[in-house]
Amino acid sequence: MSSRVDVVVIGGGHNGLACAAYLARAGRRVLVLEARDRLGGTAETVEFHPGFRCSAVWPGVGTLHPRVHSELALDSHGLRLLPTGPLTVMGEDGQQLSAQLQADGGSVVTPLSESDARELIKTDDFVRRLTEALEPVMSRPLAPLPPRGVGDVFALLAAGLQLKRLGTEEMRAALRLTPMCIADVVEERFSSPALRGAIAASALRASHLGPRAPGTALSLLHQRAAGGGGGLLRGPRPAIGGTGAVVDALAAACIEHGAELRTQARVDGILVGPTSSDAPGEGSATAIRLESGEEISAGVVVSALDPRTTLLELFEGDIAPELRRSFGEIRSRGCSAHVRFALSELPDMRGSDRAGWSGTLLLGAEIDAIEGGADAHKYGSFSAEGCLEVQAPSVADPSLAPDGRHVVSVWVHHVPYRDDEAADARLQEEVVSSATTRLERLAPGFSDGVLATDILTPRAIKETYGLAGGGLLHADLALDQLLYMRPVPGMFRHFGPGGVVLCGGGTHGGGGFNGLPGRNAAHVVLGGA
Amino acid sequence: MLPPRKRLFRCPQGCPSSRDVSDPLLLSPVPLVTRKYDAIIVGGGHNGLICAAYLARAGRSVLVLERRHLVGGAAVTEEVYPGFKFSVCSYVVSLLRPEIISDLDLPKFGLELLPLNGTLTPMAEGDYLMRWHDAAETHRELHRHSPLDADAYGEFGRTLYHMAKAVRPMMSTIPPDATSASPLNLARHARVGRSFMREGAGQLNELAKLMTMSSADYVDRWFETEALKGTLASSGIIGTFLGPRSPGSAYVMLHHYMGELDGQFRAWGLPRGGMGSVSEAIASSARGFGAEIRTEVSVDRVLVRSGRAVGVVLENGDELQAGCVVSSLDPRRTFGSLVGPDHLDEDFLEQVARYKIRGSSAKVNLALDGLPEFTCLERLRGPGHIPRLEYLRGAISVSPSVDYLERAYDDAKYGRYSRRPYMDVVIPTLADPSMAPPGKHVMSCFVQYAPYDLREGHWDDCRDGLGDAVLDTLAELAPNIRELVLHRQVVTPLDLERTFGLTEGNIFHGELTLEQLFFLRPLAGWADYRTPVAGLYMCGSGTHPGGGVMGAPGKLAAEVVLGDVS
Repeated sequence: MSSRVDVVVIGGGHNGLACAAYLARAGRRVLVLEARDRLGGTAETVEFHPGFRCSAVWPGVGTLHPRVHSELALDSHGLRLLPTGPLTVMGEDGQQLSAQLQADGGSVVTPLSESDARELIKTDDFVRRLTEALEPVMSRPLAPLPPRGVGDVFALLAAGLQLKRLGTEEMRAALRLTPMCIADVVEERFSSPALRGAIAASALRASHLGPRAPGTALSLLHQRAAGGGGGLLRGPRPAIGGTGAVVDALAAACIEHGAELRTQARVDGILVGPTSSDAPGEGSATAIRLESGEEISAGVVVSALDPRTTLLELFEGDIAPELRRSFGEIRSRGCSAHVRFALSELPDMRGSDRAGWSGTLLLGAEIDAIEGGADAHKYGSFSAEGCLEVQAPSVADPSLAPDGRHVVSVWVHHVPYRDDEAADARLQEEVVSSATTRLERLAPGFSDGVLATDILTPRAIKETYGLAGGGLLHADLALDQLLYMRPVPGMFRHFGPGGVVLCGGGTHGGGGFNGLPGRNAAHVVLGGA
Repeated sequence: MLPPRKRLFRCPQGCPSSRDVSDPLLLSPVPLVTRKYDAIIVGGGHNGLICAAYLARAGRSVLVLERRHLVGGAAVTEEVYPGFKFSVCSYVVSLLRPEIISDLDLPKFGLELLPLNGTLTPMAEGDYLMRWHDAAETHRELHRHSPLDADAYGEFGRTLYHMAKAVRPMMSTIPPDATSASPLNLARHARVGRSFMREGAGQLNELAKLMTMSSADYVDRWFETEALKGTLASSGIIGTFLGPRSPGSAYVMLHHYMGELDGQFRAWGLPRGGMGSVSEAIASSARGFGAEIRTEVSVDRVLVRSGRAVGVVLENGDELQAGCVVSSLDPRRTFGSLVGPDHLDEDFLEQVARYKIRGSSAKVNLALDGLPEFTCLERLRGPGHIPRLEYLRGAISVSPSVDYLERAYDDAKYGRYSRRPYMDVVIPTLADPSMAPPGKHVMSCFVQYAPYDLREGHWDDCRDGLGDAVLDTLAELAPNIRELVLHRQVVTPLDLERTFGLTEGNIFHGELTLEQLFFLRPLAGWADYRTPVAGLYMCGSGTHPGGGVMGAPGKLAAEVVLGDVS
């Protein structure tokens, strides 16, 4: 049995869906193939215990790029954002409320020293302007290097001019800031450990690096720019129904524009047809083969999977040895675990009440504690004192749990990837028990209310979502894997061998929950940029 | 054991009596003249001397002022223990620019470099890994550990050679201002761009990786033998407060690969007579061109009149006039102490305060009664024709694995010196017996990490602790070393600061991290050796292209000064 479409998109995660929606909107016949029985990939909302739901991985939807949000009219497809809650840095003893930061406006609830407060406004403003200047670089495909025509030259100039708007002094400051480590950035400006830690933790989300690793300041800038801008501090912004609500809205947009979405359709090969005239010497991808043996031919094959999986496992054409080596060298190190608790009730927090559960709580968010977590990770172990980001999403969105009950989710930083199943099982136990102990200390009685616990380790992320190495970003946000080098040097325009189009997080714009790679790849396919 | 001579670490001002009159550099103590010089150079380290030599060669009147009793800065030879001469800080030559050697005719003034054989890495399991100067020999040795590594090694060397070649023109280029579109700047950009574009796309990609990756990740792409990866990665951490897994450390590796000697990349050597003889050769050359060099003269501050540097004020209050002043001190000292806040605006001072200049290394120099016996060499496993002694005629690298280095770094991150440090050890007496009495030896140990800021304790109380950590580490590799030690000199980061004027003990006058390189070194907008004070220039390692006994900052600064005054 064989059929034909204009575009086949492998993988129904948020980038695959976004890419499909843009292409369908432009009139292409699009088919999305998702291996699992449900759409969304790491952006799904899971029912981990009967009646208890939670975003599988990402703590909020605020990082979704505003252009994707508005261009695909996700509001009209049912997406309802909730206000961003406060970001609260907790002392380890659970008593000391170190700082509460209003994560969106840059204002700080807890008093800071005068110089910290002044510096926060100054730096926040600078970072905001810098990420606004960088935003257009992220939200469109990069111009080819070296420029191939007048249009490309203009694109490069435009990006340059956008940055020039910063002015000479700020340009210099930006050049210096970019390759720095986030610890230096915050330590040379602020004295409050809570403020330092909150900024560092947000720069390091989904990074295996510690705050003292050079390049981690860029990872903050990248996240902000790819999320449509923003300053130093940005807390996760919830949506009713969790990240899965974005998936549902994207799917609805796809369907509205006529794309076909198929689940339980695992692709096991990208087939390469005879040499085409525009890519002499190299066959081009013309079809895919499903696990069932069914073949579907397509004008364009797009993959939202990570680049390594797409090209080293699925692609059946020839890849030059150097390129093959480059793909093999892409680093995507699994480094976070996601724990969720189903609770019969939400206990009061020590020194506070239930209101303490609103927004996001950071535990172990001092520079040394985060660095210690990264130290353990680099030797393949786990630190029980590392950084946790805790949320009780059911407080703002009661639809996530049965009446009066609650969900608490924890993003655990710096959890290593364990290939061995038994070793991973031990790790799961270790992570859950340390998180439970710390939450019990924070809110006595917490563990008594636990009805069910669920955990996703890097290994489980690989097993469940098929991400090579268990890394959520498809390719680490490292200096050598960004911009013109993402996913590998020279492939930043989304076109891989055989004309396969990559639209996952491992490509330009990607690395997180933002939908830009899907959007950028669609533009490249449509020839619009 | 004789008591150590303490002269080195007392205040240099307090020990004029220890002056060695046979030292040719200290002859002719004429009183300071009141004439006006074209240029006064503050600091007689190798960069200050090189800058002076180039200025004098162009016919300018130049005065170099050095605070200590001898020139050379961190490139000095001192007899710290009777009969034993130590290259107290810097200990090998690898980066000194060949055009400087020839322009200043340094061999004529006594510079002689003795080759080093290779690098010996004692391995964790009692074996060793030796990289010889000779490629075929190295291939044979690596093959013993891993045929894959042996084959990859040649290509790795060629790749780094190409990268170093691509970057080399940058080393002799005054950095452009990244944010300025002036024609001069654009021309400089174009020149740098052209030298890169000559390399193909593949090479450019490789270079981009090398500029941004960690040295551990970079060597991981090539090799599997832990000791080889550790040793190669170790050149990515020397002198920096980074670990082998820190992004950006691969660049430091390249920086060290840039060394060339007699036209050969990655060749390095020991100067006969120690590092002091390099400085003395430069000083003699400078004098030959007419420069005047004065030691034991402390500069208190730069004399600024109407926003312009017009001379210096000495610690004794004397004022010396000059057309311009060139500081070879690090940026923190130059602006923080020599210029001071009165002549600089707040933003600039803030940038100076944020300049990263963390010391991370120390030096331990040993006077030995004989040669240490390394356990790993008890049974030679390589080709039988190479005598045991040959294995010690190079560097001995204590870098058994990347993890070993990384754990050493972990200590430093939390403000402790490494309990098991990375070390680069050289026994100069094997090449140059004149450094010690007959049959005796000198051992130079570069030690990392030793953070300047200790979280607990003071360096003066931790000196012995660090010395013990070094000896404990060495004794694990060569157990007889304890009986051989006649004298142990431990140079802590604080000593490097107090004695040699290196702020925070940073041997490169500021970290070689991406935010402090090329057009960002030392500060964005001030990478062209000029400063906000007209007539004041910088020529130290804190300027492009940075640290090591390379001399390029001194030479490039001289070019800028000459361009401005002509």
